[in-house]
Amino acid sequence: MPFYLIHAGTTLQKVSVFGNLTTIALPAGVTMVDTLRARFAILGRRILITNAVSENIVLDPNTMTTSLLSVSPGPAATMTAAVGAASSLSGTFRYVVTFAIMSGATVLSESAFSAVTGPITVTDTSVNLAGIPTSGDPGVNARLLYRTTDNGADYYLVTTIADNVTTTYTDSTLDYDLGLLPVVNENGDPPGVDGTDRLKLIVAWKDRVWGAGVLEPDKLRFSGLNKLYAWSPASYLSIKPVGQDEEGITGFAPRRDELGVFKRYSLWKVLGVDESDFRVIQVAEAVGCIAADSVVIIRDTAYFLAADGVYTWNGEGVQPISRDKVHPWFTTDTYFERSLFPQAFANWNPLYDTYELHLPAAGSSDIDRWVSYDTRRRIWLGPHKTGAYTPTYAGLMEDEDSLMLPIQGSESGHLYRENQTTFTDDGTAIDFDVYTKFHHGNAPDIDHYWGELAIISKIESAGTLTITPAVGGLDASAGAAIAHDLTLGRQRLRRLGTGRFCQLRFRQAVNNQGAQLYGYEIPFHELGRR
Amino acid sequence: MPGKSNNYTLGEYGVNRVKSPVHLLDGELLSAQNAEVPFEKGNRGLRKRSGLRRFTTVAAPGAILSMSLIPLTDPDPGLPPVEIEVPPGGSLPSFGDLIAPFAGTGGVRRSVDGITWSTYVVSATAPCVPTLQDAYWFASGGVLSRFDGVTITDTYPLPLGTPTWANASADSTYLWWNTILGLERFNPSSGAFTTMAAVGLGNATAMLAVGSVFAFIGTSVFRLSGGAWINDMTVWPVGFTDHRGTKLVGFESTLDVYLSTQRDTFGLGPLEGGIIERDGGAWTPVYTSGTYRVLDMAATSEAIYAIAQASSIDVLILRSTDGATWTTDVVLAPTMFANVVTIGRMTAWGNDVFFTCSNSGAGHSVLRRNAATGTWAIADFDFYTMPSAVGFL
Repeated sequence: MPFYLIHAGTTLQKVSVFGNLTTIALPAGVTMVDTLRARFAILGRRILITNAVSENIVLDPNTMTTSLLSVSPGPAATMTAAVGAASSLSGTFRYVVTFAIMSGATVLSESAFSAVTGPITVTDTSVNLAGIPTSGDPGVNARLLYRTTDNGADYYLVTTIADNVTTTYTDSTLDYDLGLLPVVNENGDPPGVDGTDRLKLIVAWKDRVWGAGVLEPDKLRFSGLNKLYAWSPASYLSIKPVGQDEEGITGFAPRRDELGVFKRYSLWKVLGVDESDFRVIQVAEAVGCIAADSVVIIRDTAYFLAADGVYTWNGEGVQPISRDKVHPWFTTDTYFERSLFPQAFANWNPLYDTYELHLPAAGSSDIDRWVSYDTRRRIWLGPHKTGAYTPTYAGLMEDEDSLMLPIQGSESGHLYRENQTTFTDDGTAIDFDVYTKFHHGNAPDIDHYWGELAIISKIESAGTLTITPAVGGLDASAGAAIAHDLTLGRQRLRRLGTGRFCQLRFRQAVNNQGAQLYGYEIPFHELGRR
Repeated sequence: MPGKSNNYTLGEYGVNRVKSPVHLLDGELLSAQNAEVPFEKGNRGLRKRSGLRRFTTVAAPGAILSMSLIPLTDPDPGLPPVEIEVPPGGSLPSFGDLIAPFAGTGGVRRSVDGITWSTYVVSATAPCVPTLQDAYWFASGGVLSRFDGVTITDTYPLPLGTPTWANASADSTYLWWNTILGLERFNPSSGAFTTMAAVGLGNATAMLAVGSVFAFIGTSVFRLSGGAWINDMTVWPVGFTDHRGTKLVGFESTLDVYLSTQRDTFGLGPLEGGIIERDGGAWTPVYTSGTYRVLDMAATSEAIYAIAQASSIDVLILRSTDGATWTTDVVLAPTMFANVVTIGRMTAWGNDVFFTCSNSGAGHSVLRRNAATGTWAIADFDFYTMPSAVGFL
């Protein structure tokens, strides 16, 4: 069964598919903050966690234990090498050593090489190494000793010193018995090794982790192949324009063979298969992403929140999907608190095939509304809300049967499953509230007499639907409410009145009471111009 | 000129805030809060969106700031939560007529409103334990009888004599014999009894009576799932060690359940008891008493009610609207009656609550709490025997 990792307050929690929480202990000295969102990336069956932690950490899902991503700093002291006792080793050799965190024979993290010791030339003797540095990092439990072959330049593993105590080693290993392949030490540290910087965004793509830091936000760093811990200083791509703003890279969109890299006002993509041919191509200018957590990939199409609305990026390019219908939602202050748009988050609801974007209501400091975009019908609905809790995050999870399951996180620390079969938000009524168009009988300049309203609705076992008509001009005030009996299926209701327009408001906020409208009819007579 | 605005494409074009209100199409809306267009093929229209349900057992220590699916094997997923299906708001459905069997006269009293009662059947045997499943069943005199609302038919011999408790599950009725710890499942469709193994239960005192989920309350709480007994509810809080549960009810949400308790040594030692809440995974005392034991509970959509009995003459009915604060709703003895001789059982029917007892006032009564007035009064009584319980068809 899968499980979830959640960043709750200043803690890291494992949540089972049954909803059981377990606090995950952080490495000694590592803390989490509740002012940033933790980022997660999975590579090689291990989970990298960044941004909200004081140092990047890695979770081993087998043991649910965490360790530091990086062994830092690497060895500073230089070993000494001296001719040892008689042996069969002959040649000229150089040595380096690294600090490592290991689990059994598996290297979980390894530092960069130490400074080179040697060359030392021996003839039929061993080499006595002394002063092998030890690490002050309490997580380090091994050191890896490397050596060249006779007069060689590449380093091969000689031995693993399985502790952080021993400072001497006698090497009599023949070249033939060294590690099979030379070691290319691409180990380096990504942002997040200490408190000076952090990996604000990460994503797994092409068997590497890609990330962006805060201090150099335009630099797209990437790890070694299948190595969470190997972040060579040379492994990066610059996303232009460099130095243009403080935000730099604002989001990632991994799609098939392309990694989309957003800036606030541009979209780039990374192509290639390895370091020899990774390259960056600009996809769009003047369209970017302003909220990293608004990016959702649905069937190889990326949905994201830009400064002026929601866009998609797929094989057909970048397309606006909110401009023609709900542009004012994103470009005025009437509906949402736009200053908090960078905090927006989104998820995909597979059941309804909707992109659900969570935004703050106008004047709110919480992300307390969401709007939904039906990717099949290409329509928007909302803004939605719940009275049960304040949403704080959303994501697509899996249940115990590995079936997709959209989930919302809350300010109270609970998780909530969407798509329930009942019309209740965990015991709290859902406030269904819909405003129709202004009907005008195709003659908006003519006064109308609006007759008896007929409602066709799904037959429920109980309940009423409140209909509030507004008859008059476009500024018509609400009239007396009408109750539609939801048990009838069809009901003829009162006459609506006289005016140029007629608008209806449907509202139903009774707990666990469904309401479905199939349609309505309003007979009218034109009265004439006034 | 007459005309008609027919709109049967409601919501099909979603919200439009770009066009002027005059230019919107019929299928467009100005706003659609908590509305969804059904996804089912051919199912058109606009409806209230589906609900959200909390599924974490306990709250995380702080707001959920981010999350990630980890599609790797969870080494310790734990047990599924105790899924007790409580109707929204915690109330039991108020369907059907109320039924109260009086053993002495053998009469089955029936009421459609809880106010007016009439005798429908005079049975040759004395009905004892009413059960609810498919129809109304009486266990008495060594047989189980089916009551369809008019007559008693279809009697089945009980394997262990007259049981002391019964409860309906999704497909069966469970009958329990306390003295010999017997448990039989009765299938109303076939009329067959099946012996249910209850290994390790010991000293069981009651059965779960919430929704369609069945559990057994002993020194700990066992629930029956897939034919196996699961003991994942056994987290007794400090102060409730070695107490026995008597009744489990659900309230507020699907994950909040309340258990009334009484000390195992009742009759031999001090009366102690209380109410504990299981909010998700942990049991927490919400009412404790060194004077009263709590014998039974019932939950409506508005409140939980509990019967508390002291070693003295005092018998109270407690009420709580939040599960945390409990107040005395009525003093049955010595205020309402001089003495309550026998404590019966409590049943919620809509937002009304019914309670059976034998008292020194009106005899053997069915008491009713009128939700509209918040007052208790005798709804029905019999001079000979106390009704075993109030159920509903």
